[in-house]
Amino acid sequence: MSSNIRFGKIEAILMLITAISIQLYLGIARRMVEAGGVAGWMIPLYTCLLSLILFFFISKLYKNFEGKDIIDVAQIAGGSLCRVLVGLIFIVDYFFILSIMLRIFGEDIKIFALNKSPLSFVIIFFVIAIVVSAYLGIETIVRLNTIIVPIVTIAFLIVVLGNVDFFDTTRVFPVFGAGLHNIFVKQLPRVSIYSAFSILLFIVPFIGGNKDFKSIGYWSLIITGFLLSFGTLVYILAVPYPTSTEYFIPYLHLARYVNHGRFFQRIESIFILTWTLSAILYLSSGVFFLIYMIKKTFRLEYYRPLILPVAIILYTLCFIPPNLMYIVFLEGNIIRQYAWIVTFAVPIIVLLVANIVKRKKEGEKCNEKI
Amino acid sequence: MADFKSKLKGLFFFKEPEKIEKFILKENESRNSSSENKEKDSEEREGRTSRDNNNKESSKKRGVKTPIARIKQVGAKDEEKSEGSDEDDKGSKDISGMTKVSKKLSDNLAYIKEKYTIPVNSDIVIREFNITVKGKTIPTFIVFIDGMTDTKVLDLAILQPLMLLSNMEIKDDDNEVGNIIRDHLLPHNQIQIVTELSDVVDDINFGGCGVFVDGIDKAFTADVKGWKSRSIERPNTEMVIRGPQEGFNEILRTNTGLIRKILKDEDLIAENISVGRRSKTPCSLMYIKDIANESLVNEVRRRLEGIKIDYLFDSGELEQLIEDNPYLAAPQILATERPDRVASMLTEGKVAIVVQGSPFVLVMPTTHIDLFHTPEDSYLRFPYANMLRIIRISAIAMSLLLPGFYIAITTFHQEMIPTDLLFAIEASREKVPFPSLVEILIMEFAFEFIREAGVRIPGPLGSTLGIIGGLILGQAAVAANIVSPILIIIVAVTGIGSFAVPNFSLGYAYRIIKFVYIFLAATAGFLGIAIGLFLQGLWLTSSKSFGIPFMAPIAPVTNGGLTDQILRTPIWKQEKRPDFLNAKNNRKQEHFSRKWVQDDKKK
Repeated sequence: MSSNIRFGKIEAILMLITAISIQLYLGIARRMVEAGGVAGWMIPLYTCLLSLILFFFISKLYKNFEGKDIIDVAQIAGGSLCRVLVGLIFIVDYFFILSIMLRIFGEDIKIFALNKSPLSFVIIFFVIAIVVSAYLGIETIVRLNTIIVPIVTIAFLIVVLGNVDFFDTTRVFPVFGAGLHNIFVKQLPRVSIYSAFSILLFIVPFIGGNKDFKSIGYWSLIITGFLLSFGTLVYILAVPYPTSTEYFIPYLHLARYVNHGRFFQRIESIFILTWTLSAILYLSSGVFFLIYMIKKTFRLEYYRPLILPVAIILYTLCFIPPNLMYIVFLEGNIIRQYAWIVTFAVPIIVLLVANIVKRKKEGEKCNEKI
Repeated sequence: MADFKSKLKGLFFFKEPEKIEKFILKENESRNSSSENKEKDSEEREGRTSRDNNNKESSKKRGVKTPIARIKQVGAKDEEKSEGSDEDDKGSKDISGMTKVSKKLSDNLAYIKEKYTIPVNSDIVIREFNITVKGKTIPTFIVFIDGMTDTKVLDLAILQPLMLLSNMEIKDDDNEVGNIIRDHLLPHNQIQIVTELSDVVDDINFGGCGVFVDGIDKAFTADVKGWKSRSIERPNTEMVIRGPQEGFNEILRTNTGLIRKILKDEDLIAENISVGRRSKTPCSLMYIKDIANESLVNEVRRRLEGIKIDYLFDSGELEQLIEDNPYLAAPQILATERPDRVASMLTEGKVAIVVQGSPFVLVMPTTHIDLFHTPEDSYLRFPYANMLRIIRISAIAMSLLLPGFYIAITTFHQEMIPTDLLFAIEASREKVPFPSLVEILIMEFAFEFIREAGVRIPGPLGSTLGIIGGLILGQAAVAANIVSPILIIIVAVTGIGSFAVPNFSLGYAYRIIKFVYIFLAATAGFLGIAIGLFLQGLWLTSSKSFGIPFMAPIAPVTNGGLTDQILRTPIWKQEKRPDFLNAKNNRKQEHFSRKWVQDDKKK
């Protein structure tokens, strides 16, 4: 985790795209339909716009803190206490989200394919991959994105194209689905679907500077917004409305619909490959930055000794929720409702305070000179 | 009667077996015996010792003090002289500490005899004779290794001139014997004057000839190599249909010459570096000085110079000694038998190492994509080359994943199999008693046996292997219900796919990893394979070859130079060298390399 690690814009954008749009393989399409009816595809676009506005403020406030991650900024804002406080907020948030996601991926794979295998056995595979990737470092994880993302994109497009036969354009009507109020007012907190965007606040030291920071932020939000919206739209077009709220993993069903001739009838299992790959990529990036946060918050010298304990804690935490329904509730009603507080609100507050403190200090210096 | 009695006695009474002392190699045996031999030698032939400097060093390390025999009388003629004469006592010298060529011929001769353990060493030839320089007769000797030198060259270019030409009048004012010999008496094209005895020995070991002249503290070495070698033949591992058919052989200079013949560039540098403390294997570090990145060249040189081993036999050993990650399955240095391939890689800014005695030249740095390429790709028109590359990549993917996929599908994801195929598989597996994992392992191991035996089997028995492999393991295994016919197809496709890997080492790597995927698939189906792919991806992505990311230019993504990576663009579009190589000159052809197209437009 040396400071000389650098990665390019494309790699950083791809990492954020993977981290955010991984939800497509979970239940986001269903949740969007539940929330906005047949107009569910508008919610990701609308929340993307909101995220862009919030990011605009963040990038403006970040101007004075080039090359510093949010924990460094917290240190400037309020000293060690603030650094530890902000660090702990992010650490708890990441532990919570990652453990739930780990459990969801495990449960999904169990539903997909390994019905008879115990959950702990399925999840241990993810944990092994996480440990190895964290050991090899962020540079490797980020680079691997450039290999895996195109493969996952092709698989996604195959699912989309395989469902074209089932598209019915009348299913998007009425255009505003559950109503404007339901979509644009009630779904405001849904900006939390971009919670993984907080990774950007930690990759600042690894990227080129403020210019790259801005373009990575904007591009990743725009692309993921489009992807999530497009994914939901495909689901809405392929599956009639009342039924579309019932499928637990929408894209598993879309993959099952893919049917070409007598030979290609049940090829959804092959998508386990690509989905697992993107899931591990997301988890690996998340866990790496979780460890990075711990290291930065407590000013530790090495990060590798933390890998195994963090992995074990995550593995343990993911088994605390008693059942799948509870996990789904936590993901849909807690993470995707309140994660915006950590992703957007906390950074904005920290940055505001840091800016004020910095100006005050600079003012004092000027006064001293005069 | 007595005989009968003794036989009877032997039958009933225990007879202690005779003690036979069998040879056991003890730790100190060789050391002791060598010192004993040495003593014997010194007793038998005074003035000689069989101990060399290395033995002395090792003895010192072990704390064993052994006296160093002093050389009292040296030289063949000296041997005949009586022992202990006054003259000889004056001439005695401790030659064990000699490093420079002595003015006294007898010292030099003693040194050479001791160094080469003469007369035990039978192929070392010392020829003593006299030369006449400016009316003075000077004793001289030459030393060379029989079998490594060209005797005709030796006779014509060394001995004849020295023995015959020296009698002619030399019209030169220079009275310095060394200069006269160099300028007038040794009409050979590669003569070197050396002062260090170790340099003379190194040259002799590498097929040279050492000339020692009495009265001068210099020696002459002449390159008279003449060992038998293989002629230039077709490469065995990288055959092409279109393109040059020459391959490297085992001679360093032939190999460097083959590369130089293709490039015809005065900026091509061939630095000499010897590797191996004892073998001093000559290696040639080749690069184009105004293209290759200097830090890359320095790094290769640093690694070569930093190898501390006794002997180096082949570039395969050198590869293992200088590669970045010895535990990575894939090779990080490209070994090729083709001069044209080395030449084309040098033009990209890479560095090559040619090793004496090896027909494989090492090229570095190497990316994973380089290992998928064949030299033919550049010679064929780009649509054909691209088709071949796609087929090759598919074949490689098949060889890696097909057995794993079969296991995963038949064990965990049966729903994927179309109904008709499911019936076929089920019918074929009905009588097979093993689970599909065992079935595939049996066949894969059988195939690996055939492959390994195919390489080792003596030529005339080759057809036997075909019969055993084809009939017994294929047809009979199915008939005996040990494996299902569909599995034979899987194993066959995997085998053929693995032969499509253009790089020999990478083929090995994928053969090993294939088994890992089989086990992962048997453990967790597609999840296992996905984890395997992820870990393999991490492994490859984190690796580097001489500072270049192994998965470049995909991971990390680099600008430019992508015209000949996974797929190939037309040759006239390949304007730049790969960006990740950081070559001194990034452009390899002008923006309009086909100038005639512009000329056509003008008309």
